[in-house]
Amino acid sequence: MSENKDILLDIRDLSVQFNTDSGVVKAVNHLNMHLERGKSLGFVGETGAGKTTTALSILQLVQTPPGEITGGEILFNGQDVRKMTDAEKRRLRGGDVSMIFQDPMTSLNPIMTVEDQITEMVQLHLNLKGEAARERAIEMLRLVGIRPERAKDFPHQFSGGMRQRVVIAIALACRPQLIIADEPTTALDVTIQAQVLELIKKLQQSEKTSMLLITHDLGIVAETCDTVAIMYAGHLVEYADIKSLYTNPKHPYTQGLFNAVPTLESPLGSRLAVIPGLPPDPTNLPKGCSFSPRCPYAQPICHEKACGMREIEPGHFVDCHFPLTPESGNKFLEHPAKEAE
Amino acid sequence: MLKYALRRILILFPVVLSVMFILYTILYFTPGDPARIALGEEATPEAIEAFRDEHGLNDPFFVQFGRYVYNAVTKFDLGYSYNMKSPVAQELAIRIPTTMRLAFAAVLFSTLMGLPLGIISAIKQYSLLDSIVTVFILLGVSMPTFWTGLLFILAFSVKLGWLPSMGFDTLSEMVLPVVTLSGSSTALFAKMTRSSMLEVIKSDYIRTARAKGQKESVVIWRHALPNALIPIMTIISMQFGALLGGSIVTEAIFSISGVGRLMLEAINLRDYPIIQGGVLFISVSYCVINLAVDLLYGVVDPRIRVK
Amino acid sequence: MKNNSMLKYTLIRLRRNYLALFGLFILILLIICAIFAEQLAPYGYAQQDYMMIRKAPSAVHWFGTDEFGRDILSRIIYGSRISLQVGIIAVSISLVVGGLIGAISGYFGGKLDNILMRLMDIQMAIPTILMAIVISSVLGPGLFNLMVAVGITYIPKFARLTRASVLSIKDQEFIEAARAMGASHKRIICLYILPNCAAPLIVQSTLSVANAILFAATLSFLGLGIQPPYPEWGGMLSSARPYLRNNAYMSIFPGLAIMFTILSLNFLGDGLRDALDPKQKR
Repeated sequence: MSENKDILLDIRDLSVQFNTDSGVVKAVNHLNMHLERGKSLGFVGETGAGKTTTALSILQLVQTPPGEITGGEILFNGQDVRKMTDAEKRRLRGGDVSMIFQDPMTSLNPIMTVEDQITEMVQLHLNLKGEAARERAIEMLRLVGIRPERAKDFPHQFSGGMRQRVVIAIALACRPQLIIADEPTTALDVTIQAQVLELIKKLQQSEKTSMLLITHDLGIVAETCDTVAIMYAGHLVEYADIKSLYTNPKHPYTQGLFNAVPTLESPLGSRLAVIPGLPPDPTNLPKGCSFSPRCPYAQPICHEKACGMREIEPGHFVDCHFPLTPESGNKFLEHPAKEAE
Repeated sequence: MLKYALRRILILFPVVLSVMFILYTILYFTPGDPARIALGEEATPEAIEAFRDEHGLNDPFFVQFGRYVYNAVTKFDLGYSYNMKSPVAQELAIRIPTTMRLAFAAVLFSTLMGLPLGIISAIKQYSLLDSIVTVFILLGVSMPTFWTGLLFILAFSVKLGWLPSMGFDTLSEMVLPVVTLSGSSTALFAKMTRSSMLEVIKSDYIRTARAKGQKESVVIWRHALPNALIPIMTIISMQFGALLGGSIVTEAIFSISGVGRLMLEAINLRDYPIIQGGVLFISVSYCVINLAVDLLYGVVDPRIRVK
Repeated sequence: MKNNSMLKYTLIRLRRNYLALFGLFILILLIICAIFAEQLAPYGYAQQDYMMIRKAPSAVHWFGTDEFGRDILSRIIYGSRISLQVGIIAVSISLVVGGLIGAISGYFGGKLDNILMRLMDIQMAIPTILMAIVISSVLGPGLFNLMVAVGITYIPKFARLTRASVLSIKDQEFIEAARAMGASHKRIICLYILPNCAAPLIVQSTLSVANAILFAATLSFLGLGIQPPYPEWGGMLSSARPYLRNNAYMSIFPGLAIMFTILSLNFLGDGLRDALDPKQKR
């Protein structure tokens, strides 16, 4: 990967584990990922694949017992976040990198007005006080579509979608360089989802902010992101720009994900081709490739040795001994809906 | 908000009335004839009948009850104690200030000691301090108040001679009773505060506060603490009732002439008017305090306020 | 099926909690003392020896003797029987009556619910000691009356707990589904609602037994409960008061007995609460 000034976030060989009573959970394993300035990256994977942990690691907010970052570097603007002082980390959080969390119902302090929650942000990073801070807060609220009269209301007086807008307002208040949105619409109704995504996209484009969008929904990624990273069991398995990934997925897991999405062209009455089996136990990852137990293309070597990310085409990386080609076909469809192991 | 307050205040009256009714009914049906108690064992049947007529003891139950309520509400007349040969209200009035001082001092002490202990042990979970506080909580909740009182007297009065073991007038006389009475409350407050803090610290909005880049101390003191203390308010107000009740034991051990001790004597002498009056007074106080805290809750927690 | 595995799971979690095991151990010790008091106690609880009045602990009388020359150790052993009896029976009364009230209130709702809960509120307006005192003074002294008095005081707590559990599950969809399938009220209550209440009620019962024993000891200390010569621990402390200066040991052992009993029940209750809570992340 090139050392160039356009790379805002560069994660190198990141490994994070959690030491629990039932064993060591390897949440993130040797993750390598980068994001260019002004672009947005979709971070896709099932629940528990390690996406949120990666995001929290960027902000150094992983709960330190029981969590532990065991290796790697997280370079933000060339500086390793792990080596920052506490004061630098606090400047990073909210000032350079903001996070939008998943559940708007619980992410806001119930006894603080929404205005106060934004002014707190502004006072911390933009050094605005008093009236100036208030004005900025009201401006942000207006930006996300909340009337100024509601500034002194409390979170419980807003619906889920509105609360998420408040969260977005807080995240953008200090013009961060990077927004991390962790499944920002999962907890919302479908109709509200569209609105909120629109809003995020609009703001991101107008402020030229980079974005890391964590989601399990391939549709959302297609609409909003420039590049995609697919994560499975704590590993990155494929990374490419949108067009390449959607037209030419190279990792069997990615193909499996696409299979599971019904399209308008699917013949009536056909079943969704699921990926047989279950994700591995994170305290007991399989030897070799983590996906091999469920992979219909697996060969003996896959069970023995992991491959590691390789650049198959310019800008398109896969972690697979036998990346798919257009000729590989679609083995998931040949064995539809096999019972889970 | 005003409507909410008004509604809560109005509910107080039926509750007090019901408490009066229950107490009155229970004591009405206890064995023993007030006339006989007043006039003594040798009284003649005619004298007893005359007494009963004179004091309306032959009237139907509800008439008697109605009279009691009327007297209580309009004239603060809670009846007459034949044992003590004086009005119930008067006997209570002399002793109420003492008991109130004891109970309030105990609440204050428990709050000032218990809350900080709970907060600090939550912030420094798993530390040595946390373990010490946990042990203290366990002991405080398991040791009976009357035992700790005796032990304190043994240690500080008998063996060390530092503090007196009777009375409640001078400052040094107040120390042991207040500390004794506060014992289990302090432990309870520490325990509840600790668990409330721990729960709040794990919430999502605390994580959001940290993600904003806020200093950890500000996160704890300005975000976590206010949220954690709201439910504690209710616990404190409820504990007040337990303390009023517990004052009986403390007053007995330290020979303090308060309402509690009066109750004890009244029970031994079967002085029902006093028992009735005393329990009524304490219950009403308890209700009023609860109401005050409820209203305070409405001020402090915006989720209730705007209903 | 489900109940079996839940029980097993609970026991496994309980076993890992050392405090709870300690509490269980002490409790079992107490139960043994209570049941086999006659065999374990070196002397009778009312056995007076005028030669040995107020003797400090010695080889002959491990915990010393009281003002009537009775062996304190034996009285404490017999006392466990009284304390456990009071605790268990009082809580049983509260559990059954309170649970019934709470279940009916929660399940049927409406006006009945309103009335019942108002009654509970009114009872809760009177501090528990006072309530027990009033009931005691009406019923008079004695072991049974003590149990009833203490039992009555805890009814509102169990009623509220049961009602909350019932409400939390009553409106869930699978209950509606069961009713749509024609299940009777009785069946719904027994099969679905009761198991949901079981866990919090078990925990509360354990903790309430501790409270009840403490409460009974307090009442006896005040002279309201069990009368001498019965060896109730609170009563023993009351009689030890005048001798605090010279015979301090008389005030220590009964208090220790109370403390350990309550401590063990609290450990066990907390342990059960942690073990039965499905949301525990340990």
